[in-house]
Amino acid sequence: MLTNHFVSSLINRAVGYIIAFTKMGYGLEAFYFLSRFQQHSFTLGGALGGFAFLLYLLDCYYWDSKAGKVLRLCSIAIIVLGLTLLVCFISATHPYGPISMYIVITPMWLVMIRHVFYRKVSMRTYVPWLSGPLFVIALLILASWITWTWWAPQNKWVDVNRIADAAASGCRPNYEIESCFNNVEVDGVQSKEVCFEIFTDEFGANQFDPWTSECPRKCLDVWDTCFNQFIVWVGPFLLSEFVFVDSFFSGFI
Amino acid sequence: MRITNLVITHCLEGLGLLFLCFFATFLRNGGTVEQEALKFAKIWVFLLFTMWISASLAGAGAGLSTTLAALTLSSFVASAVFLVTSVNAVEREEQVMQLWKKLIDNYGNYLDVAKGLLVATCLPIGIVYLSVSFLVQLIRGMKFQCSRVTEDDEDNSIVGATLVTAEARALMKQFKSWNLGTVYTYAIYWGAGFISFTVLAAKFTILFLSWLIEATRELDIGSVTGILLGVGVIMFLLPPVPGAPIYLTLGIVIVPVGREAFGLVGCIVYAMGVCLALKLFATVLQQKGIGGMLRNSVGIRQVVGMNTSLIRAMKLCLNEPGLGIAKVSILCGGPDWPTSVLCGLMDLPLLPILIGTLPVAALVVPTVLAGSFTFMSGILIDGNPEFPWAGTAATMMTALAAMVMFGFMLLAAYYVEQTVSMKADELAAMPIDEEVKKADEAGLALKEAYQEVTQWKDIPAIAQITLMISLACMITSCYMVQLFQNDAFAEYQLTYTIENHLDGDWKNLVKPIGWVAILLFVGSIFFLMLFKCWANGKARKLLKSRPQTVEDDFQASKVDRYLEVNVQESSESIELSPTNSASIVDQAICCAAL
Repeated sequence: MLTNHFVSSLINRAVGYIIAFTKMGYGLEAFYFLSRFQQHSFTLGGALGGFAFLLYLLDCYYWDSKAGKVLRLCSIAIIVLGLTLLVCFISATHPYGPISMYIVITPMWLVMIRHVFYRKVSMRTYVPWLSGPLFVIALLILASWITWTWWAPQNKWVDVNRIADAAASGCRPNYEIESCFNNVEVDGVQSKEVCFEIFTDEFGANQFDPWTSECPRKCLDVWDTCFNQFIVWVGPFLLSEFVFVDSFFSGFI
Repeated sequence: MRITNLVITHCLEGLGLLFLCFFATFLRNGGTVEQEALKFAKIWVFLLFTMWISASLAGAGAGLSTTLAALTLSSFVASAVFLVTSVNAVEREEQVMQLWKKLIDNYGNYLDVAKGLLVATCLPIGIVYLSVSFLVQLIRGMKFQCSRVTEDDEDNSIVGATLVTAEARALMKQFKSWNLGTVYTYAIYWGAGFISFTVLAAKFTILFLSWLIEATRELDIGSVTGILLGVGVIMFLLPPVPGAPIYLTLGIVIVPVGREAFGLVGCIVYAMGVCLALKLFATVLQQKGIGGMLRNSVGIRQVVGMNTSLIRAMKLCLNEPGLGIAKVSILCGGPDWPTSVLCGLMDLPLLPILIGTLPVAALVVPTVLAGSFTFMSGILIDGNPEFPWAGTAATMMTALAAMVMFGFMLLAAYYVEQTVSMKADELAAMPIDEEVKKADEAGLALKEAYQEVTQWKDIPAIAQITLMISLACMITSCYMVQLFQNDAFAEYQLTYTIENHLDGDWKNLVKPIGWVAILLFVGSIFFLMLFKCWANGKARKLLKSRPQTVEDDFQASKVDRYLEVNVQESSESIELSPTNSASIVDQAICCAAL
């Protein structure tokens, strides 16, 4: 009974996430971009908390008039959108935020779709319907991720890609291991730079420069505290697993 | 690292397929909805754990546990959204009621324990809620268009009721209906448990072990083994101490001392051998020294729990000739002290018991490895870990040790349960230990009297205040330790030394906030003891004031002795007497946990 249009919208949503927040799309660039907004997260969090507190003080759960209901819906939408934005802002330090948000918002979105397009279908019927499409989508995501990891050498989870992606996602290295850094001057400003470099060979694969006694392979440890790039790389897999859970759960109900 | 990095891709892909494989089994009609959901939850936990291991080994870095926890929590929220929207309010209420009824039927005896946990964790939140509720009530009083109109029929029976909202009043009414004396006491126990884990176990144990490592570093391996054997034997002779912490300690301490002499692998194997020898030696002492020589002591027989269904069934299993799986399971999975002492009380031959205890090596190996890997994870060379994989390996070994321990325990419980159901006649025909029975009855009578005198409405104000002060101190202490952990204690690791990292004074481990938290904890325990002294005295008076029968005379004399011995709370859980098989499993789990 679910239309093709509905299934394709489900797929589009998942594809949107994969493009925006995983390495199969522009995840590294997105994380790098978002890391610049972290400073605003405190203000945004405070404002959202204050707004939610105000709504609670004003008994928003008991607004039963037509206007009240609309106002409450708008307020909740503002809070959900604000939270989504907040999660994006802090994604440099909490890289699991975007996917967690996706997992939480998906069922809300599905319920909203039912309210808008399938009002005559009871929730008892609608929710079990979702099991099949969600299962197919999870399968598609998993298959495409497996294919992608074998598609090109830079898609594999190996040291050289791990390090290259850590830098690309805006993660800060561990400056306490001083022997692994060179002092450089950029535009008259002194800064530190990791002593090794990564280049791309003629086959498109990332490679390390030869290791030296001044800059041994051990220096890879400067990136050990970063795990943003792992979440970005494994994102589609996580997404498929959690869509599986949603699929199971909706069928179970 | 290269190998693990290559493995990770395949491992995760494999996990996906594994998931599919298990998911396919759910499409079959193989069990009830609850069974399938439980199966799914188990597989999910297993998958998360496997993923955590593979990703950690692949150098995905710190924070992975938080990530998986966050994702699982999100998944729960998502499932809750589905659940809440799929049923209407009436159905939802019905389902909640059914679930609640089921919970009460199965775990009703533990309800006060759960309420205690709720109080210990949420009381400050409850106070904040009441403050906010006061604000909401003020705003409602201004009769804004958007505020809820308060209805007249809402409960106003509570003092100061109009100050807070109707919703808060309903909650307060519910709260006041609890037996607060018992609930507060459990809340204090929860807090004490939390502080014991986060401060005593996590901080001071590490401090003690680091001191032990430092103190024994210059000694030869023989002397260190001697010291550890001595400490281990003393710990084994204490009834509530299980073997695992002792094996863990040996795994940690022997590596730095024996590494040069035996090499890394050699000293770990040596530690395992010492642990096994220690366990066997402790078994000999417990069986021959305590059980054999103190056979006539009612106190010892009572602590073992001679008349409980669990111990009676264990006696039947242990009496069987040869070394069957049931006997071996009990020797390895039963609680250490009571099992060995029971063998002594039954005057069983020593050698077969020692042979039957040998499979405990399956627990010794992962536990010692967990300790050794924990130590190795802290060894740094030029600021970098010498064994970067050791932290993950330690967690894996800890999980494995827990699984082995739990497996032994379940096996023992299974065979005890089998004995109860298959040999009910033999069990019924077994003679009751009359002396222990009378001592147990005295304890039970006192416990019932204690329950009676600690009904909140009957407790005088001064005792109520004492208990509330104890609770307030404990909760404040817990919150201080939890919220200001970095400000309460200095950072200290197993491989640190007191000389270099605490300026030569171990007390520097605790910062001023930490001292305040510890003082509050001590204060809380003091006030709780005061309350318990009062309640025990009151219970004793109540028992003495009741009409005396010949049997009661005996009980009254025993009560005094019981109070002197003051059987610990932990042993109370051992002496549960229900005879059904489910409670036997509970008892077995309680005993093993002790």
